[in-house]
Amino acid sequence: MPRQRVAISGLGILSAIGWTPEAVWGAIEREESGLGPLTLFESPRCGHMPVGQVKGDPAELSGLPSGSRTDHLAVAAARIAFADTGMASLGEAARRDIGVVLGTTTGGILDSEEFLRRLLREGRLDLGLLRHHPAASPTNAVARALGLGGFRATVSTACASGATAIATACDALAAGEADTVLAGGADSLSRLTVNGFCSLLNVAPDGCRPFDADRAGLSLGEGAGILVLETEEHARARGAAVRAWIAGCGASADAYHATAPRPDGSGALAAMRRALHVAGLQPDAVDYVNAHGTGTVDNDLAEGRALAALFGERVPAVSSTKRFFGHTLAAAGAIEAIVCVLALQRQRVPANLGLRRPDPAIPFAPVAHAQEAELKVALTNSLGFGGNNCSLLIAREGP
Amino acid sequence: MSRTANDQPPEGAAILGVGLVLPDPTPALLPSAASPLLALGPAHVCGDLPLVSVLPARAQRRLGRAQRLALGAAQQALDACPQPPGPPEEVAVIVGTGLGCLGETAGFLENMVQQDEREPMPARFINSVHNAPAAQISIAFGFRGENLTFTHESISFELALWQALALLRAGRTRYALVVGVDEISPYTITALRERTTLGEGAAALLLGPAREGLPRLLAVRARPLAERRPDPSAEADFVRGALLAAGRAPEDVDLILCGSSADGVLGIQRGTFGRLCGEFCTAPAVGFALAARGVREGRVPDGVLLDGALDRPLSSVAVYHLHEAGYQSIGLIAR
Amino acid sequence: MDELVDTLKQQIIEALNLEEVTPDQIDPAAPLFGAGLGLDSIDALELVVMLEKHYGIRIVELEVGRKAFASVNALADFVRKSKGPCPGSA
Repeated sequence: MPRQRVAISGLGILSAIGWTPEAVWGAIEREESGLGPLTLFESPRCGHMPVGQVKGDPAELSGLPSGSRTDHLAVAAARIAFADTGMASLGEAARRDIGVVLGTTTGGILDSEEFLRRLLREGRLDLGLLRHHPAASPTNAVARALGLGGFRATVSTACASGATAIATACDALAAGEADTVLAGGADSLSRLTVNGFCSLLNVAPDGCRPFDADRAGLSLGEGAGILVLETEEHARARGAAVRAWIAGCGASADAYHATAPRPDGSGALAAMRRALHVAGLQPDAVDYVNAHGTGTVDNDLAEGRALAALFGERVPAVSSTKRFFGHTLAAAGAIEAIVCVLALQRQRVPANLGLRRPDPAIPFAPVAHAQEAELKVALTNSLGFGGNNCSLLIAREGP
Repeated sequence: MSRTANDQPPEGAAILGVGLVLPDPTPALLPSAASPLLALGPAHVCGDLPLVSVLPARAQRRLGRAQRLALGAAQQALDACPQPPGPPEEVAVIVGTGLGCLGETAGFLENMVQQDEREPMPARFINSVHNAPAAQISIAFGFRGENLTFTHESISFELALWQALALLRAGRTRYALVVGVDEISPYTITALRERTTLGEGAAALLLGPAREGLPRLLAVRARPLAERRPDPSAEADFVRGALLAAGRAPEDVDLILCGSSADGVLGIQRGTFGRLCGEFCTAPAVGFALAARGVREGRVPDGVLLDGALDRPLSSVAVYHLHEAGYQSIGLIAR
Repeated sequence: MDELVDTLKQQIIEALNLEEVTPDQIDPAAPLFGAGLGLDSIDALELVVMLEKHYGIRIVELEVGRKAFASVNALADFVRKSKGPCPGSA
């Protein structure tokens, strides 16, 4: 029996292509990439690679007196999402039961990097800079800023974190831990990830080109995506304006290698199948797939095989939107879920930006340009480092 | 008025195996740190790191500290289970870690700063992600079920247990290997040294279908607190509520294991896990491991009991943690 | 020429922490990856850093690395080509 669908009643997003869903969708329709030079900090070794940096200062939108960049990204997106639901007028007592589940990979690492620089280069111990280091910091910052005292958790499953957070939030709703949960992910650019991914030799010098025959790797990005999730009962009782519904979530482990996916895509396939099973849907119900599609040789091939195995002859419209945002790590799963919501609302499929020549080794070609389509159900994949896979199914209509 | 969580079915999940990697009970100093300004202890430090049989030794020596501790605890829990869990798609792996792979993160960044980004350390970067222990467990043992890592400070392990119960109840997995791990670091020692003796360690519970005679995890609840220190009646309500939802009354609980020796709730006989391992975010995992072994074997190690010898055989043990950073958690393990 | 091969063997053992391996156990013509020493893709990344550290050579593409690390002999050829007629530490 399919699980109850979860209502999505609010959206908040900060990214390289905009700070509102409208701005983000506008860039998607104009096919404008948000990749550009890294100016947030200097990296003599890796700074020449294009990144999806958030323009402007997220601290201006967060209203937080202090915090790491990731805290500001998360709180800013959360404020917007919460206001979007019409629940901002709720008093203290009602907010006490609202939950927060966020994902992050590096949390306040930018501040920690500065701590280390001062310690090792200047011999100064500035412990205050470590205050926002724990992964729980952005989650707590959101909860504190909005007065939310309910179920709280932070998950960290590498590039799948944002999707995992949404799935865990759905579990919390199903278990009766809360009626309303803010869920999503946030990550900032950092020297750790810029240098780290660069050392893996899979960062594209001219920006990522997902599923392209000549793709040369990923591009890093940063941002936050927050969705306000409610039980159907709660959303209907208060007359919420529901944007879309989460029909099912599924996850799996590749159990293969610390960085490379199973080449046959069977890990991703298992996650997608589990999501469909939970939703009570067959593959032919899916109209659009927002792929993980980082643009690395290995990921796109494995994911391509997984999609071909799942859909057989009938592969629906597929696109990766990572050339718009960059790979926003923990934010990706949530940002891409929001892209699916927007696509369902507008009945438009986003382009797989950056595609010049589809890879002949992949048995389908992604959508090269934004196009109109009848969309009822979207599937989004997040396939993380270490083989953590998470797939979400988002539906236009409720139960 | 907080909505009541759905009643958890009294059968819970059977605990098929327990693993525990404890640090040295005598605090000591860490061997070194990247700067003389960093404090080295004393702290409870694990001795020789475990080596598991399922991975080549060289591959393990390349792993980070948290990964190795987690693998050790996982292997023990699996070895304690008479029949290995399977098939691989039906074993979920859920890890709780408060601060993740600190040594690998610090190692990569220290090198980056000191070398001005030259000669990076790719293996350290790969091992620095919070889900590295969970990933390595799945790789080592081949488990392909759902795989999550919770990183919410001092309730990370309790959240991992909660998620495991949710998956098991929903039939989305048949087994769940739940591991709690945190490693010691000169950075945490330096940041927290005034307040407490830190430690490190790992513990694992293998959960699965209920089986006659085995201890069961009946309930687990974790939440943030409105105030740092709730008043005693609010504390008692929280614990009583969780016990009732599991179909038990406080009188049914033989022992309550707490983090610090000051805690005590509802007149239940008290024990502490903190003395065995020092303080770290996932120290409650040690408490749960002791509770599971305690219910299975009828006893707990010396030094755990606070109120003298046990006045009755152990068949029901609660694990309770109140953390001053603002969290409260309760779990119940019983026959 | 043999000197470079011997030096590289030592540097590989050191960079990859191959505690139980001695230089004469490494056949310079044998594959380093898969068979032979059985190194993996993470070892390859460490060898890329080793080349930077000792020879100032910076590999930025995985494909270049794959060819260079086919065997110790292949690696010696690669170092010689990259450094010119006098190979050695940078």
